Amino acid sequence: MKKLLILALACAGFATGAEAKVFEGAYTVSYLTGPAHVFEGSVCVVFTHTGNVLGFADSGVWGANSFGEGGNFIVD
Amino acid sequence: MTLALKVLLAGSALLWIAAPAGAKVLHGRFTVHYFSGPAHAEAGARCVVFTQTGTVAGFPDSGTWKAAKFGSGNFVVDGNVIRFYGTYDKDLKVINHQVDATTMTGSYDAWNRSAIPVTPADDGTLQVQAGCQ
Repeated sequence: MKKLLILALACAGFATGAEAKVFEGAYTVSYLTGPAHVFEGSVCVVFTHTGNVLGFADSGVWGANSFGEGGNFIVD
Repeated sequence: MTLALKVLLAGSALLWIAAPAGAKVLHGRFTVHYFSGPAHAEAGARCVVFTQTGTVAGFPDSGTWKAAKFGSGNFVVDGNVIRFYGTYDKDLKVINHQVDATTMTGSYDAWNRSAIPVTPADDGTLQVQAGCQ
């Protein structure tokens, strides 16, 4: 059930209108390290569209509670 | 300048120098062009010198980079992706670059670490050309 929920939320980045796509929703970010790309861990990141970062129409903020981090994003 | 010297200098700027085992090695001088904002306006260019060491984080194709009067750091070649990162502005800022080794285009992001919390300084796209003028 949890997997289905994540999958559904991860689909939120698809087109919402007639024109631009909007990046938004919850995504699992998996981190792989070194030349062998060893799996290091994953974090659930929530992207929230605001459209006001550095002039980029598709942009906003992101946060990861378990990671204790957050910031801005842009789709260029 | 003799023709032989010119050829030698041009050769030193090549991105991929074939190694005996077939591995590619990033080494030499490259011009990195920085573009900022949705219109990708060119924000500047730097001459970056890559020096192969093969000792960074387990990557055989890796080493250090340096741009005079700008900054320096490490690089790794991870498959078809070049990553180079380091500090600049008297170590007050951190910069990350990620480059597609085929197209030699990519992106960068920079951070001001002179105070807590660390704040974003700049970001955008980039293009890398072999050699510096």
